[in-house]
Amino acid sequence: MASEPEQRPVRYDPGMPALRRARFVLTFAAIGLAAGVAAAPAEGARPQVLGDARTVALALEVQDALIVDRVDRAALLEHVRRALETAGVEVVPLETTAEVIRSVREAARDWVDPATGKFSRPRYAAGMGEVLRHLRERAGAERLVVVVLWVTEAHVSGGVARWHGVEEPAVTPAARSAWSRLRAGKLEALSLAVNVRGEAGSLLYSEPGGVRLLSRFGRNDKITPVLDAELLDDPDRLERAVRLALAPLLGALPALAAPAAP
Amino acid sequence: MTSLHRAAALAALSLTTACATLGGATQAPPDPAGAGDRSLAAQLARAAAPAPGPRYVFVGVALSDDSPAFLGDITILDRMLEHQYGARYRSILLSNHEQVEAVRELPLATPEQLEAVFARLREIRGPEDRFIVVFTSHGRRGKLQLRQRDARLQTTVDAGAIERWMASLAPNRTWVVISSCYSGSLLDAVGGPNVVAMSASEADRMSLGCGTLNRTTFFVGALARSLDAAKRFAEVWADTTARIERWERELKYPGSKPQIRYGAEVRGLERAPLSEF
Repeated sequence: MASEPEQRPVRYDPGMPALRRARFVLTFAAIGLAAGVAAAPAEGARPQVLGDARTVALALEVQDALIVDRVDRAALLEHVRRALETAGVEVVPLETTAEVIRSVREAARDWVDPATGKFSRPRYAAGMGEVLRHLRERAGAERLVVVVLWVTEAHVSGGVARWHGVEEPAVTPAARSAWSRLRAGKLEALSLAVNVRGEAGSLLYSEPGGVRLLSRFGRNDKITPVLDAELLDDPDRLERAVRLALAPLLGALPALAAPAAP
Repeated sequence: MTSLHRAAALAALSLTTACATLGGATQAPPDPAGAGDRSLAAQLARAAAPAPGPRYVFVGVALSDDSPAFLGDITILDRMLEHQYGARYRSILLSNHEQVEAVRELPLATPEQLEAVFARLREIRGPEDRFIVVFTSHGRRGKLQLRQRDARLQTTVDAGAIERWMASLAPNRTWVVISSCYSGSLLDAVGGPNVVAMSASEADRMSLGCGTLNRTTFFVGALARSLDAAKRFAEVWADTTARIERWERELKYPGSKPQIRYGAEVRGLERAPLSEF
């Protein structure tokens, strides 16, 4: 494999064109969780973006180009919830957050601007502010943490794809050969981002973590997509992506405890 | 042969060998039965195992290697239905996809293996077991393409074969999905009093989403996004068709017009939640 300097995670820019183009579907997993604050870190380690916040609400957005099963959505949110609680942040029950977002979203007609008929970022941000206001009243939430799953691009060189802090072989197992090392170009990849929103929906923090490639080079130079059923089927990949996206916010996380049995 | 000819022949042979080595070249013919936990024998053995209550048996058949969408169709539905039906869920997947993994695990969807699967299901079914059957491929009127290049399979599955397979599951309640162009032309073959049948298009219309970069066909992709155990059949269908219409409008396609039919014994099912199928 050609050696290259390790690529640092690129800061996720919520204004990037791909995201502007994308229509997002808000979806929320309803999973039970045990409330309570896990071992709180030293006060000095608390990230500024969370301020004095002890309680946050957590939600998931999935780009409409992806099909993610409800159990997989729940598993992803569970990873993030555990990471937050391990860092001493309490998370509002996910059902409560889902219910509030559903009602605000319906009232805001899916964040679509009635004049243009298109997704409106200002309407979305205002909606998130409204969501946080309701959740503060109902459950004491001081920040809204939104996990976003979206399709991005990985750069390929030396047969290896690199994006948002991770790397993967760019060639399918059945097509690997000596030529694989010469592969270069771009491939679709799946990333998640953690966005933290505060008053009036203002974006306080945004960081990506790569999850997995969405396509690879197959036989005869054909690009072969990774199937939707495989998007979130690897817990190790999920944990890695969550760590990358949360590390600047929470610092290096200790090993996360295994999820509690249902 | 002169020494010059011999040298040229040797050079050509060396070049061919080098290209074959570097390129990984030829793909060994796949084992039709699959391998490991996903082999046909293993899947059929799991299907026969008793369950707490009626079994929900999913049969996913991806008939062509021409698009990854066909394998994508059956694998995403398998994952979602497994989570929906839990311990009562069983699945049998057969796929002619182009091999991307080091060892091919899923069995091929050959005519012989499909005959064997439906014959075995007829033997092992209980009276209350439910079947969900998905065929996905390219299609023509009254036919589906069956193709796997490495295995040198190139034929079609006609309405008569599909009718025979569906008849072998009667009278159990069965939900059949056919995702292909002109799939409405196969609805008469799959229909029955206990069958809910869905097709991706009308009999004389094409459906979309079977290109080399599609992860699912349009129809199954829309259906998967709409699946929710708490939703009624009618709601799932309305969401699915609305989504397809939106996608087709964006592409300026006149419309595939997906079809649904309820058999005489399952009328009213449209008002029941999917969990009660």
